[in-house]
Amino acid sequence: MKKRWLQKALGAALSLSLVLAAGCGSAGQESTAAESAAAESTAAESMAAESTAAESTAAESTAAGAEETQYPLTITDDLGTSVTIEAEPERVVSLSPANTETLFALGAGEMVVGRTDYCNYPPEAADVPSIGTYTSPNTELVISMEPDVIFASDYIDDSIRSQVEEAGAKVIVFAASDLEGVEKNIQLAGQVLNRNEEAAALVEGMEAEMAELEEILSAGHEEKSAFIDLGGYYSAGPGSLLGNMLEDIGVRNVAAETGEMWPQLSVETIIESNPDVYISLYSTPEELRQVAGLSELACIQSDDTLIFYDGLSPEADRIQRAGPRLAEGTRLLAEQVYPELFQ
Amino acid sequence: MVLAIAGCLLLVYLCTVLGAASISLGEVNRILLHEIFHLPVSLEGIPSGSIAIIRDVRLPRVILGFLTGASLAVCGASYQGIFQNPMADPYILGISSGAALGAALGIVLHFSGGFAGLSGTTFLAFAGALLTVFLVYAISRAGRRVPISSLLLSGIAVNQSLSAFLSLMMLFNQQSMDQILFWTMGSLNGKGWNQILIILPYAAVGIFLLLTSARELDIMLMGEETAVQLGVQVERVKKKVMVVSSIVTAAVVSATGIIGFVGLLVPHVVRLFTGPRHRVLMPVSLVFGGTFLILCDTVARSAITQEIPVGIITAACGGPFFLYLLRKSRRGGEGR
Repeated sequence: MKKRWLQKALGAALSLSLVLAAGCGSAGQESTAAESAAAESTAAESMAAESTAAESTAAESTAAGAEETQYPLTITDDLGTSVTIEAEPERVVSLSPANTETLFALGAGEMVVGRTDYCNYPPEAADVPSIGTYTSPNTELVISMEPDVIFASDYIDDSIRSQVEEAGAKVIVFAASDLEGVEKNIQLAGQVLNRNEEAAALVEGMEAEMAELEEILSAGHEEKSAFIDLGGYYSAGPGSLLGNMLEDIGVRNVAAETGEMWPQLSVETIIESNPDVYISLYSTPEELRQVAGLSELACIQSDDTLIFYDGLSPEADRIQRAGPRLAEGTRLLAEQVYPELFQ
Repeated sequence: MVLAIAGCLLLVYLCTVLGAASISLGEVNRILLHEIFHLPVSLEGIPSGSIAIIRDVRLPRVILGFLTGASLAVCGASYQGIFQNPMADPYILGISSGAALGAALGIVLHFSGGFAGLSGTTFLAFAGALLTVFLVYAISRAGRRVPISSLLLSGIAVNQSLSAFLSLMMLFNQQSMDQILFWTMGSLNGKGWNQILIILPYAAVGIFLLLTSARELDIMLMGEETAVQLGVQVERVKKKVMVVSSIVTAAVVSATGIIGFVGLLVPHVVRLFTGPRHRVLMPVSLVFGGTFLILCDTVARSAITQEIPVGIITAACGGPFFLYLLRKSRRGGEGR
């Protein structure tokens, strides 16, 4: 959850955008009605697809002897909220790109009736109607999709949450900030949706990928240090997804000293700590090379050590989304920081 | 006067010594003597990182802080003079929102490269600020006169609508939202000689022009009609002060982002000591505004291991300090 600090620090600005979104509600009513009609028709289709899918899963699971979820099921989400799911969900809404990836990876894509504007993976997700952005979803749209379960991120506003819960949806918040947490949430989602087997396979795949990575990294190498630049010299410190990822691949995080999850470092601190690798998720290499002082750093001068992930690129998504591709993303980052180990 | 300049130079030096990176006093001195004054001092044993920090990061940042603070304070004093309104500050005509909208556009489009070490964002912010002032001015003009009240009202209205556009832009570009917010918080981090180069010509010429208007502003304190009778071309002075202050503020804001409170509070604090006469008020505001921002920025960059946006420091220190002075002067039975 890269941008979580933002909400904490600048709630006022967000609530302003919420006001704006609410203001747009009346103007967009016509389209809302049209979309909900569309949602209903897809619902009918997906229900049909659902029953066949459920049958085949049941057949498979009896063959494999995998466990079925017993409903009602009570789980505890990342905010510590205890949520009881009464029956196997048929319609779910995802309020974050990472959750959408998880749902599709679990083979539950046909159950997803709503997603955010930023859910661009897998490509099939584009066929699902959007409910707006992850910080300010359109509550009316979400409710009109009649979801049984909403997989939210910790961006969800308490007032929106209580409104959709009153409309009968169960809200589960996923806010993992490390690989372990992501795997736990995948299993949890699998349990909620009765996709236990798929979840187990998914987690196994991620574990295998991480084991392979660890094996490669365990070959003797010198520890490198890195500075993550999220833009404007804001960085990801300990406890953040990227901060934990650096820890996992044995990279010393220059921003860790601050003890803050989203610290801004002064340029002189960055120069003084002279990191081996500079990871930029916003500023382009050309821009960074024009910053006086910073341009003197060896890691800025070389293309090998100035790693740039363009904001909305697939690579940036892979390392920043707390979803099933996180292991892949971890490997991607490791390959770029320690290229010598992957030859 | 000489004393003030010496004091400022001493402060620039002291704040260059202080900072997050630990570089010893002796090293700082040697770097300054060698790199700035080109004296034959050996730099042996000093890591190249330290040299870059002092030469390219810390010293320019301190100088930029003085320039920014001084410009904002003088512009604030001038605006308060022509508007004859204690709430006036350099952003009152919507410059800040215009610049923010321009900057947001630059951030969303995110051109890479830029020119002379300045990003496209800076240029768009500058253009946005100037366009906004022009718009406000054009709206409120009535014939050859520009009534103050309609200027203030249209300034507020334009400010509000541009803020709404900014929010809308952030809503539709959430991936850029944090960048836009950093920009609006204002910071001197990562800024140096390039920014000084764009601000300096505007600030130097602009502040000079504003200081030459001090006498007319003093006469206008007695009321516009009296000033007209005394031979002051009130409309011309107002236009001149407004155009000059707007351009200076636009240059500063586009380079540093929105740094609040300096332009509003510094002239008030100074007025408590010097009285309302602009011939004293404006030069003292210049010095005090500059030193105030240097001090705030030094706290912002070295108080803790992470940066604090300097706008937070100026507001947090400036607000209570001003209230204290205000209360003290009221108790004394005088003050404005």
